[in-house]
Amino acid sequence: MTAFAQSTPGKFLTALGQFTRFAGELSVLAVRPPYYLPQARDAFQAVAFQCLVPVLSIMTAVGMISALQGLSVMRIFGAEHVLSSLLAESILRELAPTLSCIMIAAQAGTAIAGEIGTMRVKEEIDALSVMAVPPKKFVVVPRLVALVLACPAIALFGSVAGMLGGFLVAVLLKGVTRGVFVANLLDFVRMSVLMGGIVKSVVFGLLIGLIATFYGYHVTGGAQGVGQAANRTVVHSILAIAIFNYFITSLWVRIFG
Amino acid sequence: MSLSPVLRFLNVVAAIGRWVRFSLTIVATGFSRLPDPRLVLQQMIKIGLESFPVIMAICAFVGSNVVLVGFFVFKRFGGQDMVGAYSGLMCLREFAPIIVGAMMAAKPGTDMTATIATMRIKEQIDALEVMAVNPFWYLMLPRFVAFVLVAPALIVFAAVTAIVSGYLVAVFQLGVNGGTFVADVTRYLEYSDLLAAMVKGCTFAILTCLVACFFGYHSAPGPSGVSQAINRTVVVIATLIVVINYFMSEVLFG
Repeated sequence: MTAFAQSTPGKFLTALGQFTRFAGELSVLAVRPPYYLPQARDAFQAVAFQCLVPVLSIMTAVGMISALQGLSVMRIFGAEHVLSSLLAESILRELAPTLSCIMIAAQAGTAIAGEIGTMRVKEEIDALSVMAVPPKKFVVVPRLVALVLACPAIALFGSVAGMLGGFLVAVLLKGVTRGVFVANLLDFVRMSVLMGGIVKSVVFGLLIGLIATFYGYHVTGGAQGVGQAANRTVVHSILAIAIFNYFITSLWVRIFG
Repeated sequence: MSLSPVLRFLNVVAAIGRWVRFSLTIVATGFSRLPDPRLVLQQMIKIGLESFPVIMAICAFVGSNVVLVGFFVFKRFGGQDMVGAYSGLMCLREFAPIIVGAMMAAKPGTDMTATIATMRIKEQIDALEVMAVNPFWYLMLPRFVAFVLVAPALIVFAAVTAIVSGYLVAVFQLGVNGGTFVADVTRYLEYSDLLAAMVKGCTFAILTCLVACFFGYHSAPGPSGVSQAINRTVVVIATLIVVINYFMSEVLFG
């Protein structure tokens, strides 16, 4: 049994079990009073302000590139008028949730893992529990709640930026008529598309929060351990986002069309 | 402690200047003395092995997702058989370079930042200088060369994985004709696309390496300094990659 626990699949399973237990513990703690609302508000503010600029810049560029590539394909069919409808749908359903959340994982996720990891290394977390403040409730849960709430909001801002980027390229650079672009923009956007994007970003926010706090909370070793935690947070959040995105899209398309 | 916006802007400009000077120093070191091939090989193996499985996994899911979304979009005007062309072009031209660049930033890039920052904090870089070993030659240059050499190889693997996983989803989940898919991919993809993707990937790798080295080398002391350096590395590189990708696509395929 110990031999299996030392092997690679054994270690993976152990880590997965620890992660699941951590997630379960947090979900119980999150609904049980007392609630540390000021901490959650501060964490939300930190996440939102850190992430807004990178997300907006990346989504504008992505909207521009989608319009550029989409236009070259659409011109083959002579279907330039559907460009904006397809652009809006793909941004709201796919690009905004995934890319915004990848940027949030890179910016806020590593920041949170680094923060909690530093607190762990400097024994501040031990100090909290000595003072009878439950560290998971005081440090971890507010950040998790903040990420879950911030992700959909930031993704929505990102979608607007993406559509503006598309408008910029299609209308100002490539000469699509402005009225055609604006009139067709929301043609394919139904409530299910919008809700799909929001549900996705909530799930991604939860994943990022859990992964970042898990690695941050379990840091061992000094500065190097903190660096490793930040590294793992980025890689594993992006991986989790890519995997969950595929399954959520498949499910959503099957249920709501 | 809040600086005035003007001062902050000047700080950013100064940082960009320092970064350019730092990058030029790395490149110039390479011209004055060739890097040790053993160190380069060691770094290549490390970078390749570290990022390979992650890139494969992400490309598999991105490739299948591209097909999934493209299929339902093209179905509206009866063009669902075009999904092969769409997936091939998107995966090779856009997604393979972006994913390889982003994941090289996330995995070996942050690793490099953490390593160099930790060495800086533990004064190992100063120790190297005392021993008359140029840290640029010993630490940065082998990593730089390794990044440039590994990126094009990873692009090929990434693009193939993405297209193959797209094929599997298209044929087995969505019922597209397999022959049509393969014919579309081979008809619309050209060798120039592959070359352009490799150029893109190389550019992103160079950027990643230079930014990661810079933030690691100038890291603030303490664990929070290391985590801040990593945070900045990932965000700066991801933003740069997407923005530069737009201009490169415009030039290469526009």
